[in-house]
Amino acid sequence: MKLINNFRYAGKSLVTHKLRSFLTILGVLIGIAAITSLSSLSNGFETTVKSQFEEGFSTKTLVVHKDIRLFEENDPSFQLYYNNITAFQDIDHVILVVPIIQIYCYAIFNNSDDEIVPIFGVDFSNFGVLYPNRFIVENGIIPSEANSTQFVIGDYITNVVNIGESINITAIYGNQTYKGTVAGSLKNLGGLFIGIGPSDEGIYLQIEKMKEIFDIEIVTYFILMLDDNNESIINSVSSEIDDMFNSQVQIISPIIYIEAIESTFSSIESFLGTIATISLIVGGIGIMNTMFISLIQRKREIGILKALGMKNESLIMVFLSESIIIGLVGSLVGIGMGWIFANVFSGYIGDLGTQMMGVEIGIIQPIFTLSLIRDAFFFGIGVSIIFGLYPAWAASRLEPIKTLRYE
Amino acid sequence: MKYILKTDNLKKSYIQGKIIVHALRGINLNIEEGEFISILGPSGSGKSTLLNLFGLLDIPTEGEIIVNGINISRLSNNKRAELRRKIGFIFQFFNLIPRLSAYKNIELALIIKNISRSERKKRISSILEAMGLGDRMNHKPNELSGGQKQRVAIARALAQDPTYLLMDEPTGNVDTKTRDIIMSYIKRLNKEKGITVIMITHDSEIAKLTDRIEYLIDGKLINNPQIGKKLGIL
Repeated sequence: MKLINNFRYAGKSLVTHKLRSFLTILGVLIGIAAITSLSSLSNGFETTVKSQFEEGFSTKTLVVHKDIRLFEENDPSFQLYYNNITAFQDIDHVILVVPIIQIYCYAIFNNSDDEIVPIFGVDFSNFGVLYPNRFIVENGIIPSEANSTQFVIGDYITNVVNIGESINITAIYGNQTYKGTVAGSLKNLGGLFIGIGPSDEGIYLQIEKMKEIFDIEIVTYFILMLDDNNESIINSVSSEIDDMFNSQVQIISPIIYIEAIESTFSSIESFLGTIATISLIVGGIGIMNTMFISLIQRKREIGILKALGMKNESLIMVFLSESIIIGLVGSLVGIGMGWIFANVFSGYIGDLGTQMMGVEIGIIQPIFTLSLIRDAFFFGIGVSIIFGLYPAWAASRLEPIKTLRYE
Repeated sequence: MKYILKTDNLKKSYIQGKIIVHALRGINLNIEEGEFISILGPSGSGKSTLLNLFGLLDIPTEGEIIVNGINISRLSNNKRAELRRKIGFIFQFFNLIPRLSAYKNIELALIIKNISRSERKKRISSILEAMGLGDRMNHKPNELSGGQKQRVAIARALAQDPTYLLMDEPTGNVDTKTRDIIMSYIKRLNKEKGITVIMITHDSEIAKLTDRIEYLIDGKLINNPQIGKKLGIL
């Protein structure tokens, strides 16, 4: 019997028992849909978090700040100062040093009530070099002169103040006051804000102005840009800084965080994958069950096929073809359903993430890679073959004559 | 004379529970090409077992079966399956596949024989026409009468271009009128086309319509009607 006739015969038998075939296919379909939707969502989630993280922290950077962790042997009087710049600049592989001063202030936008917000003092041009895709104005300009008196604000702040209008700030700890106008507002950055790069809620002044207003030399963060994101270079630079400041600083390397994100997501993925696989195996058991029932109901048919001279291998193929068709349809439709589920639930997952993390994540775009589709497809077919094999073999072992002689 | 089927001291025993059943105890039978023979026996005489062996569905415990010059007694499963494609089975319960039309039922036998689509079409149409089933081609078995079903089964057997027809109580499940029609049709096939027919039955009425009767009693053949009568089985 030719293979094509084999499949045609198997297909006809499946069509005869429409409901049974449909339910069996459903078992495989749900498993495959679960695998593809969960994997693609988890891929999408990971990519979103990673890309937002990478935007917040460039991977070639190190962030250095005073160590404020509990239970560490900290010198309470230790501070990082503006003039540490030269020491950082002398370190090999460091190509740019950007100090950031962050001070919490009461701010009055136009004539509104005051609000507590952080004000960031940065060198506008260097900050722009660090974050070329984020420190960009939508409206107005970013002042270039180092002693500019004007503010640059994040997109969200434009809700309370416009370009040309004024912001009045007063330090929470201290009594320095300053009033300046807004020169420019950044484009909407959106998404999850991780790190210390530009954000929608940020209010920025030139660092020189900041030092002058608040009469301060203490720097909150130093962001160092390296010429490479190679792990050994990051480690050697980090240890040099640690020695330099007697272990009184904390050094954050974004690439390590990205690796941590990757490993977290890979364990989430394997957990979800396991659950989805279990559901597919249940689908496989469904196939086995269906094929056995079919075998019992079709004893006579098996006898006829044998009496007509069908070989045992062909008979195995007839039954196996039915499982393969179930797997084929289940996998293809399952991948499609997985795609639909993932897209329907992507908004919901984004909301869930937003609630859990307290920051706006937006819609998670599920990612369907060719390899995900391929793997899901072959996995579905593979499970169908494995669970179809035993019933098919059992069918080929039936003794035909008894079923043929009696009603 | 050429023997189409020849057996030599054919024995078959099998284990049923803890008892060894000697179903056939040395069958010696020669069937010539073109014969119409019936093997008549009561239930339990070993008819099923003989049917299994003549149908190449099983292998003997001892002895030989030679079909058309080939000793098939020790052949592998696959070899026997191939040879089965040349044996036309006709059963009491028709054994048609319910979800397939008359045409498709016959075609299945030819698909298994790897016969091309155009050849299949030619053969099936001419056989169905000859059997007066031309207008029933696309009917499924449950849309056919008992007689029609049996004619489809015969058509299927004939389409296989069989070495011999192996019939198992072919008229056990149809009314007397249909039985007579079927038997006369088989007889005509035998006479006109020279097809060898081996019929296994417990019905002495239809056995009488054949050219030769062999009596199967307790796993042995007895070519003597008197003994059969004495034993009270006929």
